[in-house]
Amino acid sequence: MSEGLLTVLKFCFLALLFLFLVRVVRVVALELRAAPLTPVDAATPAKQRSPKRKGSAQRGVRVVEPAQLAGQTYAVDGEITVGRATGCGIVLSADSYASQIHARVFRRDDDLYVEDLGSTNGTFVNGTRISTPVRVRRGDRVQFGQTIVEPTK
Amino acid sequence: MNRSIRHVGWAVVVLFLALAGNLVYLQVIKADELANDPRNIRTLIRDFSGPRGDILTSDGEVVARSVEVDDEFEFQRLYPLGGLMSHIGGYFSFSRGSTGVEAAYNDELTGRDFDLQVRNLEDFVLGKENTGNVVLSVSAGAQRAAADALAGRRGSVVVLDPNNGEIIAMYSNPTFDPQPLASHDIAAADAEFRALEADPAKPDLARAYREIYPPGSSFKIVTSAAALDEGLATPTEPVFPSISELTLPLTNTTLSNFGNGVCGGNLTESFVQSCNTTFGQLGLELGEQFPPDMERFGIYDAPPLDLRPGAATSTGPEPGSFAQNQPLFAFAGIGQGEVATTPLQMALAAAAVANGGRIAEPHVGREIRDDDGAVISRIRPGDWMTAMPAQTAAEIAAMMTEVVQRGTGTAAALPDVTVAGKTGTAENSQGPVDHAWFVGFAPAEAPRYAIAVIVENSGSGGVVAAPVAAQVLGVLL
Amino acid sequence: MTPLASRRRSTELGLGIIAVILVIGGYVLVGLAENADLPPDLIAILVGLVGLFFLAHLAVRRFAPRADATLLPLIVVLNGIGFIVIARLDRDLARVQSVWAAVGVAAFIGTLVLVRRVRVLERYRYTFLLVGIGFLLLPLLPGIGFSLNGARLWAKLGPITFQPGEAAKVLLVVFFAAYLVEKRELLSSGTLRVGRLRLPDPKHLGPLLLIWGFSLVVLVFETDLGSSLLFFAVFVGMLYVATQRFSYVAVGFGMFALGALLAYQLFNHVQERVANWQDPWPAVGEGNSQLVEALFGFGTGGFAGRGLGLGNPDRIPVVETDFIFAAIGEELGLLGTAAVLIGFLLLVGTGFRIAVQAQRPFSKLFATGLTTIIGMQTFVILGGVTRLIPLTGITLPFVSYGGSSLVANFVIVALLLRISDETAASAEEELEQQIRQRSSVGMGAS
Repeated sequence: MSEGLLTVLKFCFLALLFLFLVRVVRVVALELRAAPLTPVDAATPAKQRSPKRKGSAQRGVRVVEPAQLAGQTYAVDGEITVGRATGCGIVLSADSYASQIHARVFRRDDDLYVEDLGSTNGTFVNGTRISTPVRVRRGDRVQFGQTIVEPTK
Repeated sequence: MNRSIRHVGWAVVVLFLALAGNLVYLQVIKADELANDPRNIRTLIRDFSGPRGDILTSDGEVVARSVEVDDEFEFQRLYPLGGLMSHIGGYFSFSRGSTGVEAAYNDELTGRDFDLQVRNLEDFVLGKENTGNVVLSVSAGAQRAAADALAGRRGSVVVLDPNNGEIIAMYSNPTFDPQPLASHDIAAADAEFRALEADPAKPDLARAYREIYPPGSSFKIVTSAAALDEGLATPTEPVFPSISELTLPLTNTTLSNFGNGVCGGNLTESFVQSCNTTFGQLGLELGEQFPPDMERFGIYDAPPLDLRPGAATSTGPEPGSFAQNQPLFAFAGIGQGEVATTPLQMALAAAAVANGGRIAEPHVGREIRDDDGAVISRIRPGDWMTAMPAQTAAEIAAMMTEVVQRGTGTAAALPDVTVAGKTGTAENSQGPVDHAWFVGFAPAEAPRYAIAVIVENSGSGGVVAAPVAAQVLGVLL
Repeated sequence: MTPLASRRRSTELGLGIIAVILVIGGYVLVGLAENADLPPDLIAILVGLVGLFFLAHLAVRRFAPRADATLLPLIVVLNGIGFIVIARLDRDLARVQSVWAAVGVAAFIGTLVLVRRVRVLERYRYTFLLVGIGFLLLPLLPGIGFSLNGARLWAKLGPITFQPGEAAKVLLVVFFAAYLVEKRELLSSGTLRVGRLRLPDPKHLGPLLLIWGFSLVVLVFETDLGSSLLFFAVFVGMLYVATQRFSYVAVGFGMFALGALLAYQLFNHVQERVANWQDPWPAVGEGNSQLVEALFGFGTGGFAGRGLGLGNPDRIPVVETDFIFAAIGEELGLLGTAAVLIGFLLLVGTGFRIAVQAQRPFSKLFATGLTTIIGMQTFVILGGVTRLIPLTGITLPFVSYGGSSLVANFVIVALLLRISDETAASAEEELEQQIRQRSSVGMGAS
């Protein structure tokens, strides 16, 4: 085996090693501090809750704003909490207008509801601040802090 | 509690930072020093167990090559020419490192040289090892001629091309066979080394460039150049007194002519007859101007040479010591006293005369070739020194031609070629018999070879050394 | 699974897959360098490594689902790099090491299964103390204990030989955490003023003296400088965390210095170590020591290293245990050593983060102690092989060849994961309660 080629492979190995470390550092940074509304590890929330009923499994919310997260979808099977706390289902750690526990989205009888959980800056459905659980449909715009989501169905 | 946990955490971080700093120190700042420490044999192991290019003479003979063998080192180094080339090719040993071309061109031979590495991406990927072959300017034929002419006597012959500094022959007697030193049986190789080091004849000493001798009258080339340059004399003026000995200032000692004869006359006549009293007188007249003139020839310095270890430094009287030590300057005028030079250095002095006063940097490597024989790089260093103006060189060349035509060096004459030269017969501390020297070049009209011959403790230069030069030049021309 | 748990577990899976690819890649590279061919047992190693990682991952998923996501992938990488380098040095040792890794993973899973709550450990503190001391002194028992490479650290029970000190470390940390939680009020209140310095009341110095005594026993009778320093540093650190009194650290280091000085005066092997640290360079004709060859290895490796399988780390005697870092330095260069160091830093950082986030004092102290073991052990051996401090024989956690240490370290990480899971579980509970309080509608799915 050529020493040159082995050297190239060695650098590939080291590069992968550092890639791994960088990813670990990113995870640690996410844990320590804010991170954008990443579903902390991409897209998994949509998958992990095994659907109990076919057809309704796709129901959830999709992020509209901020732009860099637009299109991210979260399935809502039962309920999902929204806020900056890491325990929330949708973590808005980069949104400084959102509260730790901001709101929740839940399903009742195949309909989606949004409920504000005493957030400082409020939860808005189509621009109106809500005080009680409000039913939302496809096309409605739901705002938590500076983040806007819409029901997918 | 969290505050104190953080403190403990930070303490550990500080310790880790100290580790990181120490790693940078070891692996970056001190890395080269540690890697090249003589007690660290890692690099050597790597070279020793890898493929290695050939060393070839200019006439195509193999000085050194590697063959695959079935042991832990994988490759065995072979030296088919044995002692003929060992002072140039050197040896490649596991426990004692390497010398000569083996050491100086290690990067090229192992293929670690950058030019060799980037030559071919395909080879790089496929793992074809690109080792370089070093082609020398030294010819095996010339080496054999030198060895034959010395006929077993202790001494050296150096032949080089005055136009470009290429060394054609650089042979010393006695010599040694590098083959047993490269043995993979480390204990046997070590025993060989010890035997070599214990030998009183010092066969491992490359006399041609590692030993300094008093050059005797052959040094009058340098004294003449200084006298002409400083305006103390022309080839014809003044006429120096015809005497048999020169009384030296500040002492009772005298400087006498060869065989206590009476001689004198102008510079040309004194040079042709090798008249010591004239050149002793010139040494005194030059005084403090003499050392800088010697420096221009490379005395007080070692010529650059592509061998490891390199050439030895030649010496002269200490600059600034003329007032206290006038006799030493008189002796310096005739190449005695504190003057001591390598044979290579005297060949370079002859080359300066042959090449219009300029000394090209001496070298044994001519080019690096790849396995297919294609030339990768040519070794073409420039000038090393300018010893004197072209006019001075021409005047000395004329005097040197006369030495061989009608003076002390007639034994160096060749039938169809004009040889120029200067003999030397040097008293020395090695024994009662003088060292015989001949320093010259040929053909005188368009010089192709500069030569220096020394035969240790053998008698007069004109009788012993001049015929050796003639024999070698005869083969070459 | 809760959102937090599923996020962390999928992160762990993602990082773990990179880690596995990395280790397999390195193993292939070693094979290519050695024989210009794929290693013959590649499939076995691949299956074994993937299997072990998934077993460990599934165990965490099942038994500590909310635990930190980075610890398991980090130890896969560190243990994997160690395995690669050991395989490059000696394939037979690598085979043994892979068996030990399997035992380690079994111990890891066993710990997660058995220790469902760390508070269980707190309850049996004195049992752990006795067993710990027993383990510590086991190598000194005639017939069971024996010396190897100059240190009396080994015990032989039937066909199995092991270093009981490795287990003792963990057991004594359990005891000490529990003891300090109980006594910390006392330890931090009593004061004795000496000039301007506030010293702890001498009668509360009992535990410190006890540990000091142990370190000396280890140092003197087992001739193990490294473990002695490690024990002491860990316990002083824990004492400081429990009492928040810096004077303990000062007194502790004073006592250690005193002990070390005494040992230096009394024992030849300590003097030799220090002398070899001050001037390791051999005279002409003398052979190179381990340390000198290690330094040459680091230097020859330089920034980028000579390449896996292309250096001569076998010039360092018994390189696969204490000196394995020098082999990494030679073949992977500063890039490799820095990566390993960063890996340990992340491991230790996460350990302290778990300690900070933990709610109960015992968990905090326990996590601090466990993390300090790994951190200090790493520092002591890396400082030794790079000649930052005098060399003391001790393994590099997860990387060095050696079964007892590997198994003990797997257990340590399993315990840290357990603490992390408990913390996250209680945080989640709190979150849920808050949501429940704020919500006007009933919880749960339809």
